[in-house]
Amino acid sequence: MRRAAIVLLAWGLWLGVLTGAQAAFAPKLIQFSIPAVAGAACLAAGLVVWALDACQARGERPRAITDSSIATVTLVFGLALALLGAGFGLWLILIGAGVFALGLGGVMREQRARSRTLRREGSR
Amino acid sequence: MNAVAVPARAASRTLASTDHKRIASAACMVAFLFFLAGGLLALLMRSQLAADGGVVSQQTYNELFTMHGSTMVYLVIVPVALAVGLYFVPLQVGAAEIAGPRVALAGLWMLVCGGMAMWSGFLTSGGAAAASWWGFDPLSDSIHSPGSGMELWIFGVMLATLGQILWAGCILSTALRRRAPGMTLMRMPVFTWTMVVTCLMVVFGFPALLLALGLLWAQRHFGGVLVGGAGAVDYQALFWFYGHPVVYVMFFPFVGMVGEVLATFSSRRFFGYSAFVVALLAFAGLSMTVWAHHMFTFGVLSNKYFALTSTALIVPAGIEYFDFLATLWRGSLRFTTAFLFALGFLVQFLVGGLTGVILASPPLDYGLNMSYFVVAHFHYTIFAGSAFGLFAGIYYWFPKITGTMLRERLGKLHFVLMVLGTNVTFFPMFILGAEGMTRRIARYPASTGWQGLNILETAGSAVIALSVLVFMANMLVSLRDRHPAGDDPWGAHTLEWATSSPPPRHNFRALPAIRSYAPLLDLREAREDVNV
Repeated sequence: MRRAAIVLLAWGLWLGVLTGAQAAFAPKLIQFSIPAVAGAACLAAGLVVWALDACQARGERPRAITDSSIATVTLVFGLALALLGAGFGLWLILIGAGVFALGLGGVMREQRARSRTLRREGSR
Repeated sequence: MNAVAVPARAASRTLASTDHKRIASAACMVAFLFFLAGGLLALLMRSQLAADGGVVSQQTYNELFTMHGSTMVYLVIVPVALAVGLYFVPLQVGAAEIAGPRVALAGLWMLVCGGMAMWSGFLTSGGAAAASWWGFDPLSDSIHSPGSGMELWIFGVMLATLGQILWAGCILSTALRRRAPGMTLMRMPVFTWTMVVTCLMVVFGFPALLLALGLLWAQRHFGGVLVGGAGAVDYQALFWFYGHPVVYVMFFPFVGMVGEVLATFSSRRFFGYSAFVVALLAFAGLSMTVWAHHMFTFGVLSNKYFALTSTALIVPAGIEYFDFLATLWRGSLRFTTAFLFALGFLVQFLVGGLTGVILASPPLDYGLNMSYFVVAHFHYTIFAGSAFGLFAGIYYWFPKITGTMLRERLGKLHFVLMVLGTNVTFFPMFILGAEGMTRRIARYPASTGWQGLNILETAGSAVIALSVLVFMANMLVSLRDRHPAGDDPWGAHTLEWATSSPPPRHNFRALPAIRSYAPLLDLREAREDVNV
C-alpha cells in the first residue's frame, strides 16, 4: 500500500473542518457550498486512489509510453477551435469538432499500438 | 526516404513529445515569451503614469492593465510554477516518467492556444479585454464589454486554466503513485511536497474559475444568469475561490525551490521537515477558506470568519520561515547567485506577507481596498517574492536541465539590479496607496502631488527590465560558451542530482538507496563515516 490516498483524505477532511467552522458565523449558502464541494471532491478522489492502490498492490503491470503524440496536439487544437466557436459561430464549432474527431482517432490508434506492444512484451 | 522522414520526426519530437522534461521546457519558454510581452505592457503602463497620463487613452490603459495582469497570472507565473514541477517532481521521486504524459502534452498546447486566444483580442476592432484580470460581472457583460476581445479572453483563460488542471493532475499522480521503492511520503523532498499541496489547490480550486467563466459567457449571450447584485456576488465568490488559492499556487512551488536552495548552499539537512510538511498541508487548506477577504467591503459574507482564517495563515507561514532560518543556522553558507535570490525571496516576501496581515483586517481593508497599497502588497508577494524564488530555482537547476553552468558574475549583477529595481518600483506604491491613490486610473490630477513617486517607480521598472536583459545575456553567453556542469555541481541532496545533466529520456539508469528526504546527503555522510 503506497498510502497516497491518505494525503487526499486528510486534506479533504481538513477542508471539511474549515468549512464546518463557518457554521458559527452565519454563512451565506454560496460561501459554505463552494469549499464544501471542493472538500467532498477531494475526499471522493482519496477514496478512488485508495481503491486503485488496493488493486495495484495485487500486482504491478508494465507500461508502454508513447514517445510523441501529434494526435494529442490535434485533439487540443480541435477542442480550442470548438470552444472559440461558442463565441464566434457554429461554423467554427463544426471545424473544431472535425479536427477534434481527427485527433481522437489518432489517440485511439496510439492506444491500440500501445496494447499491441504490451501484448508482444507479455508473450516474450 | 530517410532524409525526408527525419525532419518530420524531429518536428514531431519538438512539438508533440510526451517526455515530461521537454514538455516542461517548452512550457517555460512559452511562459517566458508571455513574460516579455506582459512586461512590455507594464512598461507602457508605467510610462503612462510617469508622463502624467499622456501616452495612451483610458480605454487602452484598461486593456493594458487587464492584459498585463491576465498574462502574468494565467500565462506566466502559474504555468511556470507547474512546469518546474512537471520537470522535477518525477526526478525527485525517482519515477521514470510523469503519470499521464499525453495529458501533460495536452496541457502545454492548451496553454499555447489559450494565450494566443487572449492576446488575439488586440487584433479585434474593439480591442482586447478591458475588465481587469478578474473579469468581474457586470463590467465584463455584453453591455459594458461588447466585442469579441472579451469573448477571446474568456475562452483563452478557460483553456489555459484547463491545461493547468491537467498538469496538476499529472504531477499529483506522479508524486503520490509513481514513487521509487523506498521513497515513502515522508521521504519526498521539500520541493515535491510544495508541488503536492500546489496541485491539490489547482485540482480542487481551479474548477471554480471554469464555472465562473462559463456563467459569465452564458450571461453575455443569454442574460438572466448572473442577475443584479446577487449575481455579481456569486461571480466574485466563485472567482475568488480560484483567485486566492492561485496566489498560493504562485507561491508554494517557489517556497519549495528556496527550501532546496537554502539546504544545499548551507550544506545542512533541511530543518524541521515533518513540521514543514504539516504546515504546508494546513496552509494550503486555510488558503482555500480565506478567499472572501477580497470581498470585505461588500459586507455581504461573514467578514469575521474570513478575517480569522486570513490572520491564521501567519501560523503555518511562521513555521516555514522558522524552518528556513534554522536550516541556515550554523550552516557553512555558500553565497552563489541561487542562494542570494533565495535570501532575497525570504526578506522581500516578508514585506508582502506582513502587509497582507494589514489587509486581512476588515477595518483597515476598508481604507486600503482598491488602492496602490494592495498593488504593492500583491507585487511584493508575487514579484519580489515568487519571482525571486523562481530565479533561485533557475540558477540552481539550470545546470541539471542544460548540463551547463550559468555565469555567476552576470548572475550576481542580475540579482543586484533586480533587488534595486523591485524595491524602487514597488515600495513607493505603499506610500501612494496609503495616501489614497486608487488603482486602474490612467491619469491623476497634478494637485495630488503623486507625480514624483510615479516617476521614481517608472525608473525602477526600467531597472527591472535591464536586469531581465542581463539574465537573458547570461543565458545566451552560458549556452554558447559552455562550462560543463557534471551530474551534481552543488553537492545537492535530492534524487534529481543522481542522474546525468541533462537527464536521459527515462530519467535514471540506476537509483541510489533512499533512506530519507535527502538521499544524496545520506550517501555522502555514509562515505565520510567510512573514511573516518
